[in-house]
Amino acid sequence: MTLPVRIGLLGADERIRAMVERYGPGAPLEAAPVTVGSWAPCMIPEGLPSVAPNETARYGAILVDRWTEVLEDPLVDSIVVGTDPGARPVVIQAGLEMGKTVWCPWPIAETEAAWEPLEPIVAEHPGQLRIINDLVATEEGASMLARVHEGGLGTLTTVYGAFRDSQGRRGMTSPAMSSLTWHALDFLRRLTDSPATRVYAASGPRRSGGPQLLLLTLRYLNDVVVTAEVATGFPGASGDDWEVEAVGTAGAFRIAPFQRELTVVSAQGSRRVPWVAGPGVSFFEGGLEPTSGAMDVRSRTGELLVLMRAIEASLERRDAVAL
Amino acid sequence: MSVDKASLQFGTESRPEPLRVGLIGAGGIAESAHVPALRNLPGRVRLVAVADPNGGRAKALADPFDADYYEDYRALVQRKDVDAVIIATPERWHADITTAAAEAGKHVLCEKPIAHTLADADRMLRVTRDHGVRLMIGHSRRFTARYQALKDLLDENAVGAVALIRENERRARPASDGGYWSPGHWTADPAQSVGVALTNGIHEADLSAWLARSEPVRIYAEAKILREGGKVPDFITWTITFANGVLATSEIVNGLPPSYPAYHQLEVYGTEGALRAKDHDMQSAVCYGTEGATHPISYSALLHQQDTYTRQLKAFADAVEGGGPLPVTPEEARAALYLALAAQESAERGRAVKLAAPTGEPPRRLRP
Repeated sequence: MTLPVRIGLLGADERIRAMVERYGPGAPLEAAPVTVGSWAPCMIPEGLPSVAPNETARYGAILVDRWTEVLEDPLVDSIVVGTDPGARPVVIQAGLEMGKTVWCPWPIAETEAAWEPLEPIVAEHPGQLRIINDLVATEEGASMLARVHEGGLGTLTTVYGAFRDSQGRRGMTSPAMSSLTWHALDFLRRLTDSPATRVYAASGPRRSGGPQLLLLTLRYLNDVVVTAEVATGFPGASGDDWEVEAVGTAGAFRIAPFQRELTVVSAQGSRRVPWVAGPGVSFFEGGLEPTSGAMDVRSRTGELLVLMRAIEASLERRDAVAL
Repeated sequence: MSVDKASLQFGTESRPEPLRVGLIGAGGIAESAHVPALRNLPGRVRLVAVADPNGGRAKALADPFDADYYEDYRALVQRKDVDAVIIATPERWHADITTAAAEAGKHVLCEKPIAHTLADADRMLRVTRDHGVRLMIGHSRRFTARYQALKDLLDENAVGAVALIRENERRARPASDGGYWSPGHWTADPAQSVGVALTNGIHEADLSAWLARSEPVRIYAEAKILREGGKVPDFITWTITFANGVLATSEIVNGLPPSYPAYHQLEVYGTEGALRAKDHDMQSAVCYGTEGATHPISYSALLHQQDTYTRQLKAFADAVEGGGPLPVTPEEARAALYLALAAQESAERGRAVKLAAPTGEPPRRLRP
């Protein structure tokens, strides 16, 4: 029997709103994961410019005045961090020190300076900080990882990935990179199961209303070559649009989790159903198993921070950078 | 170049004197692409002779046209009744054959890439110019209906300022009985082929520059040999930065399992929209078996195959007979070769290659 887990939500990003939709008392029964029996959805008032109190009440959420009240609530076992990336280290630290299991999407810290004080606290609370990777959270992404690691493709040779956040929902963590870059690089790292040894990066010009593009070519220690594109805010689509194709010596596997969105056609034109209706919020299912799996959050964070700096160096030098 | 709607009625056009053509090379591309194009333009062009060191193959292609055949191309180019030749041989022979044809006064439609070195490309430009004959390189994607339509949309500013061009290409690893990259095929022979950068990548190089409408300034590439025992790269991925800020990226894989669909994926992102053309979104047939799904006709159903070579041949014939501009100039084909060779150099060095302006000095190893 799986014990119900009581969740506190901190922040008001798209992920949190999707979870309120999915797990809140007003949500359709069939959408609620069986592992979540009760919960206390709390939100940070100052982080809710677009989520008015009456909307929060509609979902049966408890609105608190201070975010620390969520942590102090004895009925809350776990918290999900959906704040701006800059606020995450403080929230993570407080959650860990209050004994909560902390679920947080990438990035948990944007810079080495933000990570250094948090790193020893994470070390003192092993297994308590769990990473949410948006792509791993999809059924397709998890299937691809499983297939590759089970040897279903033979030896992995090349990977192509496009990670697009069409509406720019994920914030930029530097002039060239968004938090989606972290999700993408972590997913690729899990897929290749090897550290990157060389990276080349190119970024498109930032034009008004135009997309922010980051093109990456990576070679990993096990000789896998990855071509990746991380794009945010390009027009012409309304949701996430990811595509990953892994090629091995014995097979190939292609996923496009969000291309199965519905297209809604009406007299006003056509639109695609937003990603919140898609498969991107399933990371709790399966009894709250950590999506980070066997990954060491500390070493992975450190490794990705180094890779991020290499990407920035590549952009500046306009050449490949060895790691 | 705009879409030539009239060219959809290839077979109905007739002129008193069809362009008399000799076909040099009777391999896969000749049989699958050029011969059907010749067949589609019966009143416009006439196949006079075929040459190939394998006389049997030359005869097989020539017979349905009541054409002659030779084992030595030099005999073909000396014929008085040949106006133009189509060169469909491995790229390392392009310059020698073009030189012989031009010296004999024949116009030349040559398979891509223009040559395997810039020195050979320059020789081809020089000899055709000196002898007053036309030289067109078969960058066939430009004659694909969908790419022409996409180009028209870009010219009409349909997506605003272009930011990204992606053209990916997927093909299965070679079958045991031959074909590209298989042991014994010229594409897998380092004496005749430098690998994927020219065999496939030349298409992407030309297409990217065509759609970007700018000069490339930098390229970075990674390449690999995917097939066991291979001697030349059959995988390459690259990123091109153009002078106008456009980024273009291509990933070309020739190592997919046989059941995987062959496909092209072109995407263009602009400030106000996006264009996409993906073969795998238009699967014509999928066969689900106990071993999984297969795509039995995906290669033949690739949209770039349909009528492409007929459009190309007709455009060449029009330019030769009408004296108008060539839809693909030799200089553009040389630029595509320069770009593809730069990609290969980048992959070998693990460094980005800074590209010279068209009239400038190319990188050290790329100098003719």
